[in-house]
Amino acid sequence: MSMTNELPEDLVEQILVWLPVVSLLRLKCVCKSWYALITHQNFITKHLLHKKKNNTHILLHTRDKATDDYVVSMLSYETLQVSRTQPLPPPYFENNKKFAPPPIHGIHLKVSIVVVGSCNGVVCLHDNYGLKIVLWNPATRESKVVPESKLLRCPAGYVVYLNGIGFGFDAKTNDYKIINLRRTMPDLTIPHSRIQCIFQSEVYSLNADSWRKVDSVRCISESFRGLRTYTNGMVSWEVHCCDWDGVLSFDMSDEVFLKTSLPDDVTADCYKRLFVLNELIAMAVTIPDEEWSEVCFDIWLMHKVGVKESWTKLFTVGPSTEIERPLGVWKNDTMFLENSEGQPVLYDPSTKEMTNLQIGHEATYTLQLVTYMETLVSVKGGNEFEEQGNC
Amino acid sequence: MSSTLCCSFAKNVTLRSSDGQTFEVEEAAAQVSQTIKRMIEDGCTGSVIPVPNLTGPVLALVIEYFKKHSPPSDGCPTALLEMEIKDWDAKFVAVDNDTLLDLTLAAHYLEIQGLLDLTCHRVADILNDNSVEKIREIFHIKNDFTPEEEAEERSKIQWAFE
Repeated sequence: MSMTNELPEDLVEQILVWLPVVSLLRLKCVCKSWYALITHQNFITKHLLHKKKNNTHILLHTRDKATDDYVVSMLSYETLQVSRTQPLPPPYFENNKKFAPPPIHGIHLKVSIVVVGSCNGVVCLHDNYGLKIVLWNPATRESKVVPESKLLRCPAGYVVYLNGIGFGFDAKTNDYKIINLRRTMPDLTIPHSRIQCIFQSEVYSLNADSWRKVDSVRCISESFRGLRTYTNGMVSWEVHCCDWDGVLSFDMSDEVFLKTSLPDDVTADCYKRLFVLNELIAMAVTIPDEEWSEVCFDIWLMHKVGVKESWTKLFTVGPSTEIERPLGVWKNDTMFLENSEGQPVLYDPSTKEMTNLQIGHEATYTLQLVTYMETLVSVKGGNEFEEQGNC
Repeated sequence: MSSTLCCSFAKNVTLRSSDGQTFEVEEAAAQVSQTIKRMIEDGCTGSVIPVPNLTGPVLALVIEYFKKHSPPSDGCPTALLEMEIKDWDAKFVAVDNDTLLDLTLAAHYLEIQGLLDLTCHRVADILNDNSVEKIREIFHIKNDFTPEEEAEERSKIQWAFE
């Protein structure tokens, strides 16, 4: 005597939000009404909010030791156990082959691929070769190459440099955005009558699937690998301007830049790295000894963007000969570091103890750690009003 | 109203299932259900409260849940008590599939959030552990895809079935 013939749709929804993405992809095939429900934007959002409460992962981006291919590994936030490892999406890895650009002047350049950011299960990737930007949902394995911008022209005799890039979510318009800062410099191999740098910025909207120019800031950031961070809807970079050094933040919703000067104790020439701690911007400042044999890292926290006085120094990591660089923070101020062997280790600042996570055994400077969660969010974009079709 | 009564005297209400079985339960315990709480507040307490969407055996189970989850009379529940309730909950939903689905529908209809989370999570575990074909059987769902449609959709996400 069962009543199970009629599970109301809102109840099916309350059941399905508990499921991991891979199961939901399978369950689309149960019947047409489940397919329609699982692919609907409302459900994707409800599933995301449900996962947000209890399903944070860490995404580790690294080169596989055996194949030299970039791979990402998902680690449970609680146990730090690897739940799965997968290759990068096309065009970086396609039909079991990695992205191999044609040689330039007979030289095969090694392509460096970095994670720009991760937000609501969408990961943004970027490379130093063709300067492609790729949006990728590793859980659904859906990916898309972001269309190239036609907005910013490069005058003859000039060269374009990437000055800073960031990825995030605009909660006001429910849109995923990429901010791209570009610096156009004269090609110094060509004689110029007047040397002038051009600073330009543009924003890509996934909903619109196009780029748009925004106001720019005259400053230089070396942000290709991990010198940026994203929290509370803002991308931040460590930057140098002619009269100012500090942290530049871009508000993804309001599309404005905010500047925060460095604390007085930190000089502009120190090597600095940004990461997120308790949803605030944190900064690791490298303090070497005279021979650079032992290094300390001072960890600072910025309590309010735009307010220099809001920096507080939390603790110092080291001194140690074994630390290459800080990667991020785990629970209770425990830090992820890259050791001098290029391996991720955990560091407890209270005991100064280091534990090797035994995950990668990679070349230095390929490791990146970002927080991540599995969602159904689509990276296709440009179709926000398009009806989801049945299969 | 109940608030004016002496606290040593627990007021009871009577619930009647779709098949006419009646159950007496403490009013405070029954108010774990938001639906019943509203009915009591609307003044339905004088007579029997009808619960027409639930059969006797299911209502009996729900009342067991009420009793276990009624707010403690002496303030905050202890951590030990919470652990014990968690264990009890896990055993409570370790039932056959049809009973589990009946409980899920009951929690939905009676707006019992704790029981709804518990049963939905358990049903999700079953969905996670079974094939698409088996799920259709458990949930009595008719496959309304044509074989071609289903094959095409499966081929797009073949890796998810591996």
